[in-house]
Amino acid sequence: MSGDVGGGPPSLDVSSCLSLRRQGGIAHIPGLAKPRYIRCDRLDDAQRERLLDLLTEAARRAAETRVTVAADQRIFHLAVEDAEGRCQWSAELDEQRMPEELLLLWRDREALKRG
Amino acid sequence: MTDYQQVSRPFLPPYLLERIASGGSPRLRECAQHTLLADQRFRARTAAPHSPKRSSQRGVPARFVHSARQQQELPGQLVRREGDEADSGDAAIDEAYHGLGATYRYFWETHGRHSIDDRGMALRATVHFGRDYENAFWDGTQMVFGDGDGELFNRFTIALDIIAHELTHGVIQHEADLVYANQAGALNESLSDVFGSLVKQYRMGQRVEEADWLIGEGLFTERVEGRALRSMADPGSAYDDPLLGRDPQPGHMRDFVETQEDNGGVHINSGIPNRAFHLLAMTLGGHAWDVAGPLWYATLLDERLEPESDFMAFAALTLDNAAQRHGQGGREWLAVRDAWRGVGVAVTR
Repeated sequence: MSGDVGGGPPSLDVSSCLSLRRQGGIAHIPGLAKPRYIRCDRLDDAQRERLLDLLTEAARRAAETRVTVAADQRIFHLAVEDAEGRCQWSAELDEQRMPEELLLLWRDREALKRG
Repeated sequence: MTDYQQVSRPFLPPYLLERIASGGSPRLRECAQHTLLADQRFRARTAAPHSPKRSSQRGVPARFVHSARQQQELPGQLVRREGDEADSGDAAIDEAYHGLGATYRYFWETHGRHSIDDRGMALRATVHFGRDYENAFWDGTQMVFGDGDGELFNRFTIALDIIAHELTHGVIQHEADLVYANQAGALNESLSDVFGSLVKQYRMGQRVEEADWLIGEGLFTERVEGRALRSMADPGSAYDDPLLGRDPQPGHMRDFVETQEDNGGVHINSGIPNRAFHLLAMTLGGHAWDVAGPLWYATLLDERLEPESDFMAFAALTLDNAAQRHGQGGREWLAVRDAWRGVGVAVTR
């Protein structure tokens, strides 16, 4: 586990926000390196619960293995912020260790527009 | 609280969000199952890596191309091995096989190097890695290439210099083992670009003025406003796209980017030594693999190059190698000195 605040993720309420940031790869492409956000006020209770399950799984995997610093490999930085933008929890994982649903969330821009 | 990222152009079909909530949906179950399987496979790979047979004959490569079949399992199924001369008809498999061959041939014919470790190490590559996977990487033992998402990126084997770039990361690992962060990491990246470009120029028989000096030309689809991932001749000019942003590479130390991102800017500040190499090659003229390439190769193998060497240290060693090979104060030595001065790295000796 690495990051500002380790351990398991906090419970998510409507003021929570998840940031997903992808780093590394064969090139640094600014538009793809920006964090993408999932605001919990746009999720219903069941979605927040599911998101928490995914973050718990991510935390478990992050605790198992340190991120790899290898040529052109990508890592993900996850963080939960509170209403004031303070980081409550964060973790880093190799791309191959990321739960697939979180990868899809990072990729799915259209989905993030719905709330 | 920050809002979500607004983008001007969606580039992948909409999935999820509602689906992540409904724990009982078929898609979710499939995802969860897939994730679990991938996780088990990842651990299996970590626990039991094995290397294919190396080449015992100097001058002859040992290539092994695998397909991950859109999964993220490494190395995947072996689909083409050394001696399988008939093309498979699968572009990624065949490009990887021939790209590895071209890269091996460059290192052997110009530097006398017998594969990644100079002891005939098998060249193993996996293609069709992941689904819509837009990256290529070296994992410490092998090369991995995604198919791209088809929207922004084509398959990553399409560019010979990308294949050579990844293989060169293996060479670097077996030589200077430059730390993958900050200036040492930018040197690592730059060396991979330099030899990536040299492999392409050698394959095409190009003189320096004929080469495009681009890295990853052909990777972007026509939807992207850009020529390639990087330009060695003019760092910062490779792309400027509404979604991808603008190529962030500097070409001079005055524009050096201090950042925590990208392992301290390894793919950003590599533009500076990239441009130094380009300046040197253009000054010398002819084929870049005749003088400039061997100088950079000699420096990579130089025992004085340390894992945490910075630009200044690397530049000083290139100058010293130029002195040893061509004489201090000679044309080549002056060209090396001026190339580094041209990017703001002052070298004196």
